[in-house]
Amino acid sequence: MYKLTNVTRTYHKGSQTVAALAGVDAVIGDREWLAIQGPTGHGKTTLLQLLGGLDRPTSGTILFDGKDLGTMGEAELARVRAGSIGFIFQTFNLIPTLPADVNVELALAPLRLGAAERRTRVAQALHAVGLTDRAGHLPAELSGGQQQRVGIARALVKDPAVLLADEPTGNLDETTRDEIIDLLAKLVHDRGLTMVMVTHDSTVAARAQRTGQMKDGRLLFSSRTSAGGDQQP
Amino acid sequence: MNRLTEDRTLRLTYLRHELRHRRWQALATAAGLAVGVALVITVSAAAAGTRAAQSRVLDSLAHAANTSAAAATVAGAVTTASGLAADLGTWVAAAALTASFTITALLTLASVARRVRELGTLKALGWPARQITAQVLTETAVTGMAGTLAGVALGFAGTAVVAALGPTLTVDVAGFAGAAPSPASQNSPPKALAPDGPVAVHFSAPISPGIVALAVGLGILGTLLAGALGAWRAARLSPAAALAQAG
Repeated sequence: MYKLTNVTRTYHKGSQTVAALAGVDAVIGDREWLAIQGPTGHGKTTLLQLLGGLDRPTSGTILFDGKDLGTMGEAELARVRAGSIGFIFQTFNLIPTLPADVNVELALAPLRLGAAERRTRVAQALHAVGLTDRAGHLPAELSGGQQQRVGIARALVKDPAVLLADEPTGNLDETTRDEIIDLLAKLVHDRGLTMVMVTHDSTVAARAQRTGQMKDGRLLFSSRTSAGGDQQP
Repeated sequence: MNRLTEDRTLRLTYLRHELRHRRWQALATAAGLAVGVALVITVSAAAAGTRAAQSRVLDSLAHAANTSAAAATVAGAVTTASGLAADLGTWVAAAALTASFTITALLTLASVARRVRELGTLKALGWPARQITAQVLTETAVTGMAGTLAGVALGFAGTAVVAALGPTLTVDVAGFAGAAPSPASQNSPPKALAPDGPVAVHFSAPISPGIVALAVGLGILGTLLAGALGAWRAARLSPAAALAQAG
C-alpha cells in the first residue's frame, strides 16, 4: 500500500530549522494494521499527515499504490483523499453545526454521487457504527464515544482503502476506548482495510499487527505481534 | 436531478445549518452591509431633495435677482450652501460605504478564521479548493444579499424620516424690491417686480430607481469582494496547518 524511502520533513521556525522527520523508510502492506508510538513532538502526526497527502515531504518519496504523493498536484491529492483515505481524529473534528448524518455525508461531497446513493451509504455507515438512532443529533448532543463513532462512519462511508487514525481513543475513557478499538478492529478486518494508527496507549498499540516507534524523526520497527487486526474482537 | 445539482443540494444543506447555528454572526455581517446600503440611499435622496429645494428657491429669487444686488448675493449663497450640502452628502455616503465594506470583509475573514480547523477537516475529507471556495462564497452571498435587501428597506424608511423631519422653507422676496440696485442694473430700467408674498418650499427626499440600483450594485460588489477575500483565504489554507489549529 505504502512505500516510504528516506522521507524527511523540515520546518522553519524563525532562523531555526526543525527536522520533524529525519529519514523515514517503511513499507506498509495491504490490509495491515500498523500502530505508531513515540513521545510527543517526535514526528508521529507529521508522518500521518504525509501518508494522508495533507502535507508534502521535504525530500524522499512516499509511494501510495505506486504513485508518489509528494509530486502529485493539489487536485489529484484531493481526489486521493476523497476516494481512498479515511481520517479519524483525536478530537473527532465534526462540524458542530451539522447533525451526525450530514457530517458523514460531507465525506461524499467530492465524489459527486446521487442523493439516493449518498443517503444509502450514510445510513449503512451509521448502522455499521451502531448510531442509526442518533443520525439527526448534533455533535454537542452526543457523548465522546458516539462522536468518535460518527467520525469513524465519516471515514468509512467513502469505502476507502486506508484508515489513518491520529490518537482515536485519546479523548475517551477506558471502557469507551475498548469499544472503539473493538469496533475499528472489526471494521478493518471485515472490509480488508489498511490502518495506520498513532497512539500513546500501549494497550491500543498491542492490538495492531505491527508497532513502530517514532524517535527523533525516525521510525523504528519492533517485531510483528501475534495478535492483531485479523483477530476478531 | 444531475450530479451538479446534487452537489449543490448538499452544499445548501450545509449552508442552511451553518446560517441557522451561526445566525448572530450572519446577522452582524448582514447588518454591517445594510447600514452602508441604507446610508447610500438616504444620503443620495437627501442630496437630491436639497438640489430640488435649491432650484425652487432660486426660481423664486429669479425676478428679484434681476433688480437687486442683495437678491443676487442671496441666490449665490443658496447655490454655494446647496453645493456644500451635496458634497458633504457624497463624502458621508462614501465613508459609510467604505466602513460597511470593511466591516463585511472583516466579519467574513473572522468567520473563516474561526472555522480554520473545520475547513482543514473538509480538505482532509478530500474537498477540493474549488468546492471550499464555492461554499464560503455561497454563505457570503446569502448573507450579503439579505443585508443588501434589508439595507434597501432601511434606506426607504430612513428617507421617509428625513423627508418628514425636513423643514419647509419660506422665501420672502418682497423686501428685495426696495433694495439698492446692483451696479450692473443701475443704468437699466426696472424689469419686473418681485412676486407678491412669501413662497413656501417643501423639502422632500425623492428616491429614484437609479439611487436604488446604485445602492444594490454597491451592496453586491461589497458582498463579492468580501466573499472573494474569504474564499481566497479558505482555499489557500494548508490542511496540515489548519488541522493543527486548536479547536
